[in-house]
Amino acid sequence: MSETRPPIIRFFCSLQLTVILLTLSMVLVFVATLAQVNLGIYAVQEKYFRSFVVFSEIPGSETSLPIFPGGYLIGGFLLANLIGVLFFRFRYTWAKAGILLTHIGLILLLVGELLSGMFQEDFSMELRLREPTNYSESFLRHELVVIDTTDPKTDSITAIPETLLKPGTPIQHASLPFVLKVREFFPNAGLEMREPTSTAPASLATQGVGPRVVATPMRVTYKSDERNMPTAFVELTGTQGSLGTWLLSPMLALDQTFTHEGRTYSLALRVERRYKPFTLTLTDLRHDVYAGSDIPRNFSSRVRLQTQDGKEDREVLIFMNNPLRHGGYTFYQYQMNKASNHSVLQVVRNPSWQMPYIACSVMTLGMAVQFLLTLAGFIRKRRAAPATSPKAA
Amino acid sequence: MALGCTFRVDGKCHPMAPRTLCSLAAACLLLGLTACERAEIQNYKVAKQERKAPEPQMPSDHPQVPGELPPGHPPMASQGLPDGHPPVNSQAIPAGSAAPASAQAPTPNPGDLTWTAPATWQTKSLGAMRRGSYAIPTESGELDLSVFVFPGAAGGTLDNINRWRGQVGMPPITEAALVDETYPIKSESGVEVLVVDIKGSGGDAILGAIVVQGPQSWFFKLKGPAAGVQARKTEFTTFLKTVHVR
Repeated sequence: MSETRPPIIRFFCSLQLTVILLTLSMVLVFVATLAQVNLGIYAVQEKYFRSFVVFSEIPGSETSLPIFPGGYLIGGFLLANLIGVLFFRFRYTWAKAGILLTHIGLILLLVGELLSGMFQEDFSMELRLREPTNYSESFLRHELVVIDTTDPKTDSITAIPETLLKPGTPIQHASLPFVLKVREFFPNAGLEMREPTSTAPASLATQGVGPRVVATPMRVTYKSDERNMPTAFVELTGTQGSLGTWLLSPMLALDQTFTHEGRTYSLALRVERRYKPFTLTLTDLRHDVYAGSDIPRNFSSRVRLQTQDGKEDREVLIFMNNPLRHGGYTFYQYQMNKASNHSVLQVVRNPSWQMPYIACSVMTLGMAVQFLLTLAGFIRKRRAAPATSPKAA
Repeated sequence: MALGCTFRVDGKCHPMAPRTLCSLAAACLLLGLTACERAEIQNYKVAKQERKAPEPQMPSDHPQVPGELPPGHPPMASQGLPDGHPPVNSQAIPAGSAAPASAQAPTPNPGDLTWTAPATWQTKSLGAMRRGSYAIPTESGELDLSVFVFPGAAGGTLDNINRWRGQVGMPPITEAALVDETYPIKSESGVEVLVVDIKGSGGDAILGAIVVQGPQSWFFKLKGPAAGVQARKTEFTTFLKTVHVR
C-alpha cells in the first residue's frame, strides 16, 4: 500500500490486522464457550459478544477490570478492515470478481449480525386452551407496571423497565400523578410469609401484602432453566405526601391496588410484556409419541389468529419447523404441557433475518465465480501449453 | 477535494479524502448505535384484561366449602345466610384474618395442582400468597403446612432449599450436595416431586417438596418441631402422592 496513505488507512487495510482480529475472535469464542457452563447462553452473549470490552471481577472485590476486547470491538474492526481493503487496496478486475463478491458477502454477514444484536426481539407467548392471548413475555426482563384501571373498558398501563429501578432515583412520567421512588431493589429474591416468631427486620413496605412478607435476596442465577425473581420496595409520593411503600415481585399472585385522587391503580412487578394488535387462541394441542415408546414424535398447536381490525380470522397449525409468520413476528412451537393444556410459543422479531441467507448466498456465489474463473484460466493455460512446447513442434 | 489537514508527513499536510471520512463516519455510527440501548418508560392502553375474581374470605370456624354444610345451613349461592354471616363475595375481611382486600388468593386455574389433605389436617386461611394452608396438631406442637406457587423456577431449586435451610438455622449447601439431600418421588398421577428433609439446629425441622409444573413451581413446606415433623413424615409423603394436575 502507498506510503502516502494516512497511517489510519494503512492500519485498517493491513493484512496483519486481519490475522490479529481473527486470532482474537477465535480466543473469544473459545473462552465464551467455556464460560457458558456457568453463565448460560444469554449472559455469555451479553458479556462476551454484545459488548466492546469483556470485564472480569477481581476476586474478593466488586471491582471489574477490562481484560479482553469484546465481540463488538473485534467485529467492528473486522468490518472496518474489510471495508478499508475494498476501498483502498482492492484491484477491481474481472479476474477477482469472485473475491469481491465473497468480501461483500462477509460484510453483509457482519452487518446482519450487528443489526440482529441491536433489533432482534425474542419473547415467549403462553397459550392456555381456549383463552385468547394478545401479548408476549420476555424470557429475562421484568417491568414495573402502574395500571390505571378506572376506565371500565380499557387499562392505561405505564411500564417502567427493570433497568430503571435504581434505589434512590425518583421515577416520574406524565401519565402518573405521583412519583415513584425505589427504596430497595433485589435482582433476585425469595419471598416468605412473615411468621410471628420471625427475627427478620421490619419490612420497608407499609401497604399491601408487603408488611407480612419477608424478602430474602438471593444470588442471581444464569441457568437457562431458572429465572431470577426481582423484588422492589417502591414508595409512591403524591402532592399531599407519601402514599405508602409497596413490596412488588413477580412471585405475588395478584396485583396490589389502591386509589388516588378518585382513580384506581394497580401495581405489579411482572415479566416484561409486548402487546400485539392481534390475538392467538389455542384451539388444540397435540403431543404425539412414537408407537410403543415415550419418545416424542410431534408437538403441534392449532391456534386461531384474529386481528383487531377484523381483517384476519384464521386457524393455523404450528409445529416443529413450521412456524407462524404474521405481522413481522415468527411464532415457533417452544414448549408444551398436554396435561395442563398449555402451549408456549417462542415469538421472534428480527428485521434482518434475511441477511444471513443473503450473505451466505453472495459468499457462495463469490466462491463459485472465483473457482470457475480460476478453473477457466487453468484450462486455457493447459490448452495453450502443448502448442508452445518444443517437443510438440 | 480535500477536507482539511488531518496529519503531516515531513512537514507536508496530507488531507484526509472524503471517502476516508465517510468510511470512518459510517463505522463510528454503526458502532455508536450498538452502545445506545436506552430503556424508556412507556404508556399505552389495552382492552380490559379478564381479572381473576378473589376467593371469599370466610371466618376460621366456617365449614370448609365445598363440603358438607351444617344441617339447616342454606346453600351458599342463596341470599339466606345466617345472621351475622358476612356476604360470601364481599371483600369485607373478618377480624383476625390475615389477607387485605387488595391482595387475595387467586382462583385456581386448569393446569394448577390440586391434592387431598388428610382429614386430621385443619384448613387455615390462605392469605395473599398461599394456595394451601393447613395446621397439623401433633404431640410436639402444631405443624404448619403451606403451599405456594410461583412463576418459572422462582430462583431455582438450590436457592429455595437453602432458604428453607436458613429458616431452621442450617448452613447452605452446594449444588453438588443437593443430590444427597433430596429425593424424587412420583404422585399417583405421575407428577414428579422433589422432596427434602431438613433437620434444623434449633429444634425445628422442615419437610419440603418442590414440583415444577409447566410454567410454575409449587412449593410444599411442612414446618414445626422436629419430632412432630418426623412423626408426620409418612402422612406428608402420602399427601404428596395425591397431588395431581387439575
